[in-house]
Amino acid sequence: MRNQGTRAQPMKHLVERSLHSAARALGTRDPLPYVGDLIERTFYLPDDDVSYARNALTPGAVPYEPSFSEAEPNTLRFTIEPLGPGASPVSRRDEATREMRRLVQPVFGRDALSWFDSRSEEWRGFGGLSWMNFGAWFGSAFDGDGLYAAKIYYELLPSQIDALSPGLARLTRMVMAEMPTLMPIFTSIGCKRDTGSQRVTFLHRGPLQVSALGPLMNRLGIGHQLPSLMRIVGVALGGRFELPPGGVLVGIRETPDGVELKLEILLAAIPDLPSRFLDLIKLGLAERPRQLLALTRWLDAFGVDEAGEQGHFSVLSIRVTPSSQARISLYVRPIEFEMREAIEEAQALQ
Amino acid sequence: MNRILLVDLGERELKERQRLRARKQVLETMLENSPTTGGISVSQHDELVEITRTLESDVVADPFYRKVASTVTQRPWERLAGVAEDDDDDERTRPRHSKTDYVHMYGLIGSQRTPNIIRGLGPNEREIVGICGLLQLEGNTEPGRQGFVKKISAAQGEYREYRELFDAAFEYLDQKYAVALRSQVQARLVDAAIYGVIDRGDGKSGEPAPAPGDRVAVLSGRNVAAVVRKLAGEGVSANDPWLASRIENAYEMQSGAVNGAPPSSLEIPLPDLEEATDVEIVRENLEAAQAIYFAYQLEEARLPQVVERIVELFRAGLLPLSYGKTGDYLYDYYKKSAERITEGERRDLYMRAFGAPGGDPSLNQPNREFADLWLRFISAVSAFGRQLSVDRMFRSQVPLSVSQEQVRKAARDLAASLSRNCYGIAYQFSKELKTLIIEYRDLLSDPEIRGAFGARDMWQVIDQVNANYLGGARNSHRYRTQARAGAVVIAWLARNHQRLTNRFDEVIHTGALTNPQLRGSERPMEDPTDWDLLQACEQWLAVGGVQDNRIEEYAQPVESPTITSKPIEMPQIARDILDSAGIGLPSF
Repeated sequence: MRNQGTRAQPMKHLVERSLHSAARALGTRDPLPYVGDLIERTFYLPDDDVSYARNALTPGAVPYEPSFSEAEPNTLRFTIEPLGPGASPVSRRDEATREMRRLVQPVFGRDALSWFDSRSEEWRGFGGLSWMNFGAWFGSAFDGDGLYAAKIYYELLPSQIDALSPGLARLTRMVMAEMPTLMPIFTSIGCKRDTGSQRVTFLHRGPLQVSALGPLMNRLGIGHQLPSLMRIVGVALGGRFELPPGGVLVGIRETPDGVELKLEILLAAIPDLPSRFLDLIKLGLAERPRQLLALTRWLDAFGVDEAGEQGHFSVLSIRVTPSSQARISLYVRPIEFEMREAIEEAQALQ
Repeated sequence: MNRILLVDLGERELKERQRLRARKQVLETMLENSPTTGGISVSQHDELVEITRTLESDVVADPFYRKVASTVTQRPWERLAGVAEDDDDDERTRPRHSKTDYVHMYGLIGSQRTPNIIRGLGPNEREIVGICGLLQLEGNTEPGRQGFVKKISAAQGEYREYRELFDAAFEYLDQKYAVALRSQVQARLVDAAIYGVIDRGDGKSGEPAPAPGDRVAVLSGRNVAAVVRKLAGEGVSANDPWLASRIENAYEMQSGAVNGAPPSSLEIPLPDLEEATDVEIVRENLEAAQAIYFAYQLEEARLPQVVERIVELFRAGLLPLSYGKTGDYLYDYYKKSAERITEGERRDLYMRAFGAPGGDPSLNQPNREFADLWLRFISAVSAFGRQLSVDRMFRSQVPLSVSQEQVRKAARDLAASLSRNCYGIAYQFSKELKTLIIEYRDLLSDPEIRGAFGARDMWQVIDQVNANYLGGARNSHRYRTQARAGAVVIAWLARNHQRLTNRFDEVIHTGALTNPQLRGSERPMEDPTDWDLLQACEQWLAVGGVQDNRIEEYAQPVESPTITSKPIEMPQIARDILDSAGIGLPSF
């Protein structure tokens, strides 16, 4: 958000500045030559326009969400909700799909594009008009060589499970049979330089005891990673192991090592998030100093230093695979993109 | 010699009279129910008198023809229709109704309304028919439109430049297609009031002239104009030794009567790159967009892929086909695969025209705004239709000017966007796509193919092949409904593009939506009425499962996107500057 007394400017300038400075700090290539046009088409409204707050990615803030991942510690990753607040879900979905294809072909090659096309066929055309909510989100990651990964998030209905790859469809049905409280809500398709993968993300209905994931993880062959998962959750949330309703997403995907489970905790739903949340996260990483250093550098790059500000951190996600213990990802809402003040100002004027 | 019946003018006349009859009925109903409706205003009363007078007369009511005739002859219409003027006709064969030599009645022009002596069209009649044909060909048919007289003059200039070719075409074609008059009335090309327009049959003979069983030579001025334009474009002169053969071939290509001709009877001419244009909605581009949209929806149902798979199965000897045309077609299809438009090229086209994700992303500039503009237009039409129905339940004729303007705006935005993105090779591709779709339909409907897959119709063949060989069934019902409905919507835009510019009359005639007499066209995909448009929009939304709250939301106007009247390429110098600044994708 702009400071009081300054003139309004398009939101894209703020986003571009944030990406420029983060790219410099992290030593990655500048993302703007790759996704500058999309940024321009998405953040064209003035930076005090409160309509930005109406989005499904980061409700109440500008739909721009950088993230840190332990698995990719030195990359600049961010997700946006494409096009402006007034765009229809179909336009947003098509725009994200086009952007994905535009980047995948020259960077990752024709085979990657063919693979993506085969995986995304169900989400093209005019389907979904009746039920889509946001359409799609678009994520990208950059390292020193340029585009490292591109990812698209499509809304998913239970009736579309057949459109997933046979293996992932089978896995999805198995998860739903094992835990009927899980409901598929979106699927993400990601392409990297040498690999592509698709994940299904479920919403957990009702509160969740983390230990209740045990039977499911056993079925998936990753039951032995439950302790490391619980340890991260327990430390980060100050001893809390029960997650409130609407605060949990569970993602699954197939990897060469086996099934990967990703537990996503929506921090806004946690009523008593520890004030030292960030220190607790760092404490959990103490035994992995390289990752800890990368996290510190990443937080500096995006100007995130205090966890005290509500809404700074949006999601904590923890991944486990048969061969790797729990690894975290952290999604943030940089403070300059919070719309709370602008919304309050607008309400005061009414 | 048979009377020459000008079917294109006859059809226009029929539609105009239907419209007038419907309006007359509305006004009379309001008059009859004065106690409840409050009667009719003075202007409505004058309108009713004028409509009654027009309908009681056999003289042409079509305002388009009236304007063309009075402009070409340089006389006011009233004088033209009511005052005798000499023309070039031979004195001895002058028709009895010489006062109306320039006037047609239900498609019978002056010289064709003589009781006994029949001859061809006179030079002046040919000129008017030719000019009307040229104007119809370009979609310039609204006499109230600014610049219409200028268009008539341009068409007249074109006619006179190629007068000899027109004469040759009229000579060759005017007696070529003889049919019973009844067949044209039954096909709703001519008003039934044509029977007895020359002689009521209440005299000695007792037979009306013309009678339903009379044979007439049907001729379409529009098709003659299209033939001449094609010949002129190919540099054919009136002295060409093969002229008759060329005229016949061009005419049959126009009407799609020969193998390999474009299925549409409309020839899509290449754009004249030298001619400055003052419009942003080009009708021919919309005609191309219609075929491309239809093909796009069928592509979503994987129709071409299904045919490809069937050819593969045929090659592998897995289809139990006997010797015959089906096997020949599949063999031919396989051998000529290199000549056909490829899937990649098709997807490039869909991306350029409709922003559909597909094709080569590095080559194409997608039409990003299409999805939004499309939804806004069909939602606006749907909301307008629903609003009208509700209004009629509670109130009588309520002017809906605001909604009309919302519909006009949404239509204009959509038409301009489609027009801009369907330039160039889209014309040729659209023709090929039409031909392919018809071939595919014939192949998949073939009894042998259906039998091989145990299917009752072509859609079952498509579902079977999709489910068994192509990774899963597609929602073929939805795609075929959206293909048809979308084609109707785009045809309506193409046909009514003149209504979409900034004027203040109705863009959708409320009478057409409320009066049963004016409902559905016989050929909604070629010549849709406003009623067809509303039904197509409702079908499209219904099959897409778009809920009412979404329709309301989409129907709200938004600021028009920036749509140039043609694609703008960034100058090379600007691209070089951007490249030097490092903006743009790196090449890999």
